[in-house]
Parts: sequence; structure tokens; C-alpha cells
Amino acid sequence: MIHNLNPEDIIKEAITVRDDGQEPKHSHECYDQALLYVARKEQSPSEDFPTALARVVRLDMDCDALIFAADRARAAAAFVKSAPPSPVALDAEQVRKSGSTPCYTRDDYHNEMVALSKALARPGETPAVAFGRLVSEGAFDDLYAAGEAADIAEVEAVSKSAPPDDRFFPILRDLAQLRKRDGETLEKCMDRLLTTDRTVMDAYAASQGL
Amino acid sequence: MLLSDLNPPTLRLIAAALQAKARFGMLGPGSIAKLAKHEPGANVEQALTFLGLAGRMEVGADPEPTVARSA
Repeated sequence: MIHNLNPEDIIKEAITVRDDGQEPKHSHECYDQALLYVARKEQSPSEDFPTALARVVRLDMDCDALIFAADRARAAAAFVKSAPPSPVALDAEQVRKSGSTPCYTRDDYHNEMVALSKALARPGETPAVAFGRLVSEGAFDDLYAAGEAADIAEVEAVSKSAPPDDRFFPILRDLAQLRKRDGETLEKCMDRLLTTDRTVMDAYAASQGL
Repeated sequence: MLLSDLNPPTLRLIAAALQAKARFGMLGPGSIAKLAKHEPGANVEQALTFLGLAGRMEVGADPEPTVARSA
């Protein structure tokens, strides 16, 4: 699909791909459609479309560039698809299939979603647009579910170590879930809040009757 | 805040977050901030404000710095 792009711009870009060795900026479908556009434009009234297409493919240098760029774009897309899944993605799949405990944190699964968005972005797509598309296609269902499972597992593990009658603990745990930094565990965040956040320190002291 | 006040990268970020919200029910502010790092020009604070998530987290905060402890 050309997506409102001007076929003439696609042709110019395809020429830079062929002559200057630039990476293709569009998908192979874009180049293919631009090729059809050239054939339609060059078709004479006495000629049918397949004949016109065959003629321009054989003789037109712009078409040569479009075919070259389409091949490059197709190869690039195939290379990305053939890349093996990362250990994080494999673990997310395993969590869904067998219900096993996640081996990574929610941060790790979400980082993987962002990394995949970057790697699987189509030509002309930004990572955020690719992220939205992949979410809609269901590509991140396993990673998101594994991230949620990892979060629950972490909260359960931390909660087990808490004194049963401590009324302050659930409040601190919930606050830590909201204020957890990138790469920080829940437990580390709770420690940090208890030692650096004045409000939390005062609340803790009050709850313990200090 | 109006959508017309926001720049295109911020709008793209919001659109991605809304798509995730529609599918999963929620996308945390931390994940939105991670995605924003790959969307040059996106204003994460504006996006979070628009999504009703502002002030929910230490967004963009670096991981805990490693501090050498004195013996």
C-alpha cells in the first residue's frame, strides 16, 4: 500500500537505493505499486496492461530501480522475521503454554516489547506506531501476560516475608509498585522509600509508635 | 490540554498507549516512558497527562545509582 505517498517520490527514493546503496525506506508493496503506476502511465491506448508492464520492466530505468528497491525491502523484512526469538520472548511463550513462573521481571517483558517494536517497524513507521500495530495484531499478548504474571509473583514473594500483623506493609508495597524505577525490584524500592522518602519514613515511624 | 497542542511524536505515543489500553486494559506509565525514549521529540509528561497517568510514577527516573558503600 502506498499510504498517500507520491509514486514519483518513491521512484526517486528507489533510485537512491539502487545507485547510492541506501537502505529502502518503504515496504516492498510500495515499490510494487509504484511499478504498476509507471506501467499505467506508460500504457498506450492500443496496448493491454500486462504488455505495458512487461515493456516498462524491460526498458524503463525507473522500473529497474523500483524492482531493485522492492527486492532489498523484501530481503530486509525476511531477515527480521527470520531472527530467532529472544530468551525473554521464549520465556513469555512458555509461561502461556505451561503456566510456569516467569523467569524475568515485568520491566524485562516490557523492554522486550519496545525492542521488538523497534526491530519490526516497517519502513516509514516509528517504533511507537509499530508498537500500536503489533499490540493490535496480538504480537505482544504473551509478553504482556507474562509481565503481569511476573508482577503478581513478585508481590506474592515480597508479601510472604512480611509480618502478618503489619498494617503499614501493604501500603508501602502498593506505593512501591507505583514508584518502582526502571530495573528496580519491588523489595529494593520499598527499602529505598523507607530510607530516603521523608513522608514514608514518618508514616513508618508513626505506625510503629516510634 | 487539547490534542492540537501536542506535537506529532507525542500524538503517536498517545495512540500507541491507547491501543495497548484497548487490548490489555492498561499500559503502565513506565512502559510509556520506555517507548517515548524511542520516539524522538515525544513529550512523555504531556502524554501521561493526557492519558490521566501523570504523577503516578517516577517516570523516566534512572535506575538506582550504584553507590560505593564506605566500610
